[in-house]
Amino acid sequence: MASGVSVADEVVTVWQDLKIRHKYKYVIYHIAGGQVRNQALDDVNLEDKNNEYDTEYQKQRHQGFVDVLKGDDANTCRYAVYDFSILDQKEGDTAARKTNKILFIVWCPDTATIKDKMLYASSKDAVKKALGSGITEVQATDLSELSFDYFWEKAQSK
Amino acid sequence: MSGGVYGGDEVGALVFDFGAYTTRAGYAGEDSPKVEFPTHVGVVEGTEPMDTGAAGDKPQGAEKKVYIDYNSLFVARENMEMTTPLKDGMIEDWDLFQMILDHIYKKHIHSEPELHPVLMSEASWNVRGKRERLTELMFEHYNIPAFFLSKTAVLSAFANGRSTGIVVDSGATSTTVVPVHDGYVLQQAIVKSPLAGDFVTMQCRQLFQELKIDVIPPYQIAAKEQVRDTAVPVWKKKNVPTTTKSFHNYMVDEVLRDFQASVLQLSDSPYDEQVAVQMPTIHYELPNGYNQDFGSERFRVCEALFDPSVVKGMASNTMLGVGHSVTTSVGMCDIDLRPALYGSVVVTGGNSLLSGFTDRLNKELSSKTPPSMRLKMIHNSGTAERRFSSWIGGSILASLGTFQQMWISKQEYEEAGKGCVERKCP
Repeated sequence: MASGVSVADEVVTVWQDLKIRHKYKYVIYHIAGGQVRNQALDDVNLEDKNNEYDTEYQKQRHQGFVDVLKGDDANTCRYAVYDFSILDQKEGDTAARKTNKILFIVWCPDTATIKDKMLYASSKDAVKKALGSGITEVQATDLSELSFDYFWEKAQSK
Repeated sequence: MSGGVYGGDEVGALVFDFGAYTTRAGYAGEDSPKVEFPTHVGVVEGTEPMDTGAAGDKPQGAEKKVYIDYNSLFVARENMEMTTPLKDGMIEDWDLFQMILDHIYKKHIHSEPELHPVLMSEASWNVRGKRERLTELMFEHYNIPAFFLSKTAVLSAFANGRSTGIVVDSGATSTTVVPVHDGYVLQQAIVKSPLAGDFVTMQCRQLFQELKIDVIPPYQIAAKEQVRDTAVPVWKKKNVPTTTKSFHNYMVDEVLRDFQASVLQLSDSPYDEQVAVQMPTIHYELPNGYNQDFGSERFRVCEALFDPSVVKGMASNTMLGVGHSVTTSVGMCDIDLRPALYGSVVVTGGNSLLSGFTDRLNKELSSKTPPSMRLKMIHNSGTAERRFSSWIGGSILASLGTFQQMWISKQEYEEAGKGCVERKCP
């Protein structure tokens, strides 16, 4: 069952740029006028390229993303895609592995209005279909589910 | 059909949500239902029709009279049997169901059915035949312009901001656990258990029997006097017609339901007599004036929801406690899905308002899930949101401007027939 909300063409264009050409670090979407649209996006800069697997740098970058996503009062729902990269070394690994994962975040804070929650939850399927396969979904309802560690954990799962 | 037909957010759609205990109805877009009344109806089978002497006209069998809604239902009448059109969450008695709908349209909506699209909730395990029959009834009999059927579990999950999650709905007749993935119900993993509101009511009844306390429903009481704690109540009986057993039982259950809501509490950990007696007591007065403090009974009575083995004299080992139902249901789902399901356990239904219910469920689940699994329970703290979550979900959905293209329109129904409900409302 779906809400009938459609996805704007701009979403797909920008998504291709992020996925194939890695032009953006993240894109945040919102629903306006019955369509899912780009709300904010951030270009990948030179510094990003140099520090792609630097955990400290990535943490900072992630924090910046979370601040934009949650906005001032942290009670509006949003979708977002985030290009997550990390140098990963688990116990027993001889060498660190480079992990890149594009995460699809459904941000429905507990404090959002019930109307917003309903709208974003019921429209999620349409966005996910538009973005296609190869992304990992993160359902987030509070700040702990937006944390760097939680993203890391999700990036490791299939 | 394009969105143009019902463009805009104002469509005046109606939302119906038939629950085992009460029925909710109202306009889409509002934040609480316009009307809520018992799904149970009172039926008086007519006596033999009088011989009017009209020649040739054979009496059309006994006419039955049906009483719906609080005002007419809660009146003591001779031969009035309490019955419900639902069975196992699905519509069983279509005549009664239709009478309830007529009642809503006539007494509460005050409008013509053909002016309003209708969104109706249904049990997640509803069967094809009943869905088609309902679609047919709505279009053919009520002549509505558009229709949509939606599963309660999906509506509840959406209303809590989740499209994937496991919905624990503890209502009157049953506690159901329904996994929802991307807005679709995973039919094969639904778990139903009779350990719910009505079961607790039954346990309360047993408790009062053990304590040798008569529960007198208000309809039999004309006057009462204040008495001391545990003293014999002093009250006068009202002169009422002899009622049927089912009516009397329903009225007693009403009292017990109030008792349930005000006195009972679930203990945080499995029931322990030693701990329970330490807890504060709660004073409760029955309608006939009898009053006493309730101590450890408060916890013992509802313990069976989570641990059916404490029930005496029942083949209880065949039933699943609430916590167990959740783990069983998740266990039937794909292994890759399980983390996502445990990550959003949506708790809803009137029975879940029993104090301590969510805390106890949380505790049970965390002891049964692997420590690496992230467990998160989502529940609305508001009473109305918890009891009406599926109605509210339906209300918002039906009022969305973009949703208007999702309806089964009358035209579509006429072209494709009743089978289109399976395609449009999966």
